Amino acid sequence: MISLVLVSHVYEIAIGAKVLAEQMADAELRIEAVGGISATTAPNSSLGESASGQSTRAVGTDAVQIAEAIQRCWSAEGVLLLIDLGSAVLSTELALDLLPDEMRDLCLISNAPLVEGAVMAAVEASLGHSLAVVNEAAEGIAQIPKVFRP
Amino acid sequence: MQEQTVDVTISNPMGLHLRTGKEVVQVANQFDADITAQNLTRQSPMVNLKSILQIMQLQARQGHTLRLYANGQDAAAALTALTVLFQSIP
Repeated sequence: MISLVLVSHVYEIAIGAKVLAEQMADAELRIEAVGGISATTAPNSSLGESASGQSTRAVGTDAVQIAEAIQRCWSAEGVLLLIDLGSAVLSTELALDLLPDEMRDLCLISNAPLVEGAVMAAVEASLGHSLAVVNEAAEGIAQIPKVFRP
Repeated sequence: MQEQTVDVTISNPMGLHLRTGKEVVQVANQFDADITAQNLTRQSPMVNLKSILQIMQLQARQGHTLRLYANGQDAAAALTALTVLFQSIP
């Protein structure tokens, strides 16, 4: 079974997408959620320390965190990466560059929208389908209208 | 091999929602038969019930009638299982 890595600029979005996708997934399916960057490393961060004094995450994506997530849920059948926007793409591409060649070749960055794609991918991956088939379902959801207008 | 069909009506107020869609895909994938469906109420295209993506295209709401088709050795068993599933959805 392939694994899924969900990447957002905001940690809570990635975690939320994971919660939703897990509703549709087999217990065996491994899903990692990655988002935000450590506030202490974020330039011009407006977040800094939270009221409780714990360090908080700023909005952004971190290639190292993404690479670690891929390694945590690694599957020899492949890892599908579902990402949000903009620099998430760059960070995810950089994350793949950080991986050994043999792992990178089994990773695929999806063009699917993050939330919808994660749900579709969770169902298809749970059925044991290949990386390419799972990604096709995830990307295909963008073509289906949400609201039926006759 | 004769194609078999059965009609089911969506009774859930939420329509054929995501979690039910997942169950339909899981049940359909347990059979070798080709299993397709069409939303008769909406005259939707024919879709493959083994794919969650295609099930989304049924856009089935409460009161809609779906016609299920199965073709293959275990077609009858597949339609029975799917009918039970649709009836068990509140």
